[in-house]
Amino acid sequence: MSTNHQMHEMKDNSEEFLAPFIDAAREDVSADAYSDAADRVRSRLPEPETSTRQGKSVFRFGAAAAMLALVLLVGQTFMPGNGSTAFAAVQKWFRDFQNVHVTTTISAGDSVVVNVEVWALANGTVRIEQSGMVQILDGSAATFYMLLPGQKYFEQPLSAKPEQPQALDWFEDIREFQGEATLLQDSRLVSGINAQGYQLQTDDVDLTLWTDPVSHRPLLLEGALPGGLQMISTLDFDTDMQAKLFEIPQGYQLIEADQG
Amino acid sequence: MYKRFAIWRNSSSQQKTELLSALQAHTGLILSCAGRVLGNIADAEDVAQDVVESLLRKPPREVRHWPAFLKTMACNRAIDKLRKRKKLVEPDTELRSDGLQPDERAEQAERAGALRAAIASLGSRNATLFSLCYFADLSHANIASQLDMQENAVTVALHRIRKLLAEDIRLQLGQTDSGVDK
Repeated sequence: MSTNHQMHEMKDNSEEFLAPFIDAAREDVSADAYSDAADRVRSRLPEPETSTRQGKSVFRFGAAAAMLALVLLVGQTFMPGNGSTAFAAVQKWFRDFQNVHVTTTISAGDSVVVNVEVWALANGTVRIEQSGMVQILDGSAATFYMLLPGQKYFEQPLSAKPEQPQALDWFEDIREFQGEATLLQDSRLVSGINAQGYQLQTDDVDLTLWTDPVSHRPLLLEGALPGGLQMISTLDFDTDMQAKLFEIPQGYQLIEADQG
Repeated sequence: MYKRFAIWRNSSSQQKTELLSALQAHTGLILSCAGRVLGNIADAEDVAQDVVESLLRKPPREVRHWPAFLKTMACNRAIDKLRKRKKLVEPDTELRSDGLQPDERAEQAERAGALRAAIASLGSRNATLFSLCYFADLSHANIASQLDMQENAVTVALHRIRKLLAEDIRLQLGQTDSGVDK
């Protein structure tokens, strides 16, 4: 009883007292053991939905398209803040391009979650490659194509409104956003150019856009996405882009869509 | 051995994609939280398996912050497991090449074991709250959000929990507050 009383009256030095105990508990499993166990758990995760319902889920494969749209909409949604004249010139690249090649990597820490490569023309024609899947959106014919294994392809007219998945809410946020582009003080070397950075911020997504200070050409877009993911997109505007990127390769055969 | 996780049903494609991305990205966080609570990688992997199976069976809706959400799940499950243990499992200290001498390593293991025994004697909510702060490294604001509390209440509760744990450990070690053996 007297011990309890002493405990009750004692000065609260508990945080200091506990520190070595907490440190000991935090450190008694090795980082390698965690890493190996994480690999084992990840290896047992199911694969994402694929082939049997490709026809129905064609628009659900839309993260890549959203990524491109995000990049292109940067030029239309962010109002210039400080450095306004220069940023207006940056935005012009997003509006007036002939073509653009965007390579996006989304990662969590050191782990790459997804790689997406997009080629786009000013008329709305787009080729998207992700995890070995190729999609072509023919803007002039308003048709969507997906290249499938075994030299087959699937096509669907774009008259139907594409599904807007919930995960793209942040993209919608950006589209609605009237934010401010803040010129960063520090420059950074991007593709051999001493690039100038702009901070673009929304509720869900923080973006940094690195640009050529002379031509104002956008070079690199970095983003912190919801869920602790990081996005890095390299941008290559008005390059020599081959027309066959947007065509169904010779020998490919059309298959009927599975509407199930 | 574990089997591959089953494909879940009754969820939208988007929920599945978001959940899978989060699990791919944050499995390490689940394991490190569970490992710190339990001190044993095999038990931590059991917890991770349990968390993943549970989420795949019923994907959550509208998760605002996946890392905090997954850490909270991991700590909750790990605390349950810790409290069910009849005897504390030896930690994985032999796996480490940390340059410690054997007696130093034994002392570290004793400290970790004493803390875990004290945590196991707390109520499950207090144990989870403490683990989220000191093992999962969540901010008080994040803890408050995950446990549906006011931030100020988190601070007050942590103060009280630390005192309880310190008292318990001192009793385990046969010490009074002044550090003198009874």
